[in-house]
Amino acid sequence: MNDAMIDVEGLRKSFGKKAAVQDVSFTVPGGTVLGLLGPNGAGKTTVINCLSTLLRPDAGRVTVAGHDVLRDPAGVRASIALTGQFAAVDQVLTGRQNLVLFGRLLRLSRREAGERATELLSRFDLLEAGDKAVKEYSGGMRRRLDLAAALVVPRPVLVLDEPTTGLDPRSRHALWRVVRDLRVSGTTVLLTTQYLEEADRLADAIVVIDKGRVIATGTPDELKDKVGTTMCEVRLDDDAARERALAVLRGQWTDATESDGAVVVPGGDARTLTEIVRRLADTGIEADNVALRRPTLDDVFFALTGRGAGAPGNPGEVARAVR
Amino acid sequence: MSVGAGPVPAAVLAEGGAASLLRQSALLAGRNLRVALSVPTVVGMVVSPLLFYFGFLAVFRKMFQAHGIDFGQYLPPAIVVMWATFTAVSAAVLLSRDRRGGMVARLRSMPVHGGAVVTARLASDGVRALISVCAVVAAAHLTGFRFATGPLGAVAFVLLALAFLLVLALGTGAAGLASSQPETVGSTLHMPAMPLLMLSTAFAPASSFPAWVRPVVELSPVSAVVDALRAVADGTGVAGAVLRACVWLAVLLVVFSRAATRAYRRAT
Repeated sequence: MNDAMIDVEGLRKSFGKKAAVQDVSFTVPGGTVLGLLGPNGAGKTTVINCLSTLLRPDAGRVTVAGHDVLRDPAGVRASIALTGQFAAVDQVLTGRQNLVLFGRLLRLSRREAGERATELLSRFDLLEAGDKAVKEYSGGMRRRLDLAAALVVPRPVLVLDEPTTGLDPRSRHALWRVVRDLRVSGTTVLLTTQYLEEADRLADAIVVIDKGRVIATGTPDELKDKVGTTMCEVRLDDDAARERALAVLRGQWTDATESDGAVVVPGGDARTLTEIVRRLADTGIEADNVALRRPTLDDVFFALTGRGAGAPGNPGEVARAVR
Repeated sequence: MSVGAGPVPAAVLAEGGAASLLRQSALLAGRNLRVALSVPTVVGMVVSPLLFYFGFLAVFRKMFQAHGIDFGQYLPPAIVVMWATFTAVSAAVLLSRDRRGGMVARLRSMPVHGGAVVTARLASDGVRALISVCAVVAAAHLTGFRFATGPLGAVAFVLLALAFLLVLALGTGAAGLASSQPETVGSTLHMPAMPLLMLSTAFAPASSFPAWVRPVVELSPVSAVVDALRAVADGTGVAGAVLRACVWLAVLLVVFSRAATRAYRRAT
């Protein structure tokens, strides 16, 4: 056997008639970070729930640290620490009381649990707030406490379900730093996210899932090569103007697409953007807003699901064909 | 094989065994009680059942007297059973809230004994109910409620009331764990709770019901428990009534514990 700390093979899980995960396979080597990237409803949480023994897989094989989730669920639970999408800490208890509770549930003595709580509170910048009830915490503090609770007794595998959804940039960066530190200390991390940037910054490898299936696997660089590193976006609220702009820009950039009230040109830099504005001005089209931005998950999906530029199913194309 | 940082000896995190169950249940019950024993909720635990008691007593005492029933002796078991039912519903709401907040999922993904969450809930609700029952019995004593069976009868009365609460909370708890919408759980469980209480001997003797509904009243597990509580207090027909209540509770215990186990194993 290789040194895979998480091994998922042909995982399937349905709820009634609804197939949440149809066929997902991936491997996370020990000491690396895997980003599971996908939109809402892609099946990310279902994968995680199967992995952490919360759900029984319908088919496939899942092992964590060599323990099979069906044959040895207790072994899996002893090797894995999970933080879910909600900060699963008690709101009425203080931060410290929460950490002590989880420590003692994991068989630390009262003294050990207390010391560990202090250590974690200070590491997560919560020492001052440690004796306040969690309901007085901000969203970012709550998330940090949640992560601290998962680390009370270190385990070889850490699973984070959308750890930064809804967080402000500062808290997000603080969380990223913790994940990087954990990786350095040898912890294997699986994190789900809707943000390409997050997966890009943290993950050694990314698995993109959509509608319960893996649609791409690779390093962040491999994935971004498929999309381009930047996007030029021209926002045009008027439908007719947008149609014309798309036609004009396609003359030079054949992969230009229409998406959500804007014309998007993948790739390009500031010069491209200037060129776009000049061309539009020449044809008398006034853009509501132009921007150079990083690719979003939408763009990756556009690129990966083949619903990108010029392909059948592109809303712009369909509209023209009808006309 | 590499196990990464901070490998934990498997024995430290073994989750089975009665010792784990006891220790972890106690820890979680402590957490539940810390949440429940704030001043306003304690006032609720004591004041609300007393309001019901004195309210019913003020309104119906004379009417029952006219029918030859000593209402001060008749009413307390009914209030106790009603309050136990409400406590069981609130247990379900609290479990559902823990599920929605992710606490149940976190505990289920940890090497924590599978029975600890529900056991802790029952233990802490047992404490809550104990406070309420004692408050009702003490207040009722002031208005003429007596145990013909003496202190032993009083203890049996409280134990029986607690047993009823624990069994019922196991059933409602299963419903609570099955849903992550505490508000829905609360309103859904209150709906059958009221007719269950009304169609029993809690507030009126079986003979006062119309003939067609009387079999339901006589068969009701709520009636069995209320009748047993009254028998224990009055000292008449104790053995038969208590046996009947215990049979009912044993049957429900089997059904509800299966439901609760199943719901816990599926809660995400």
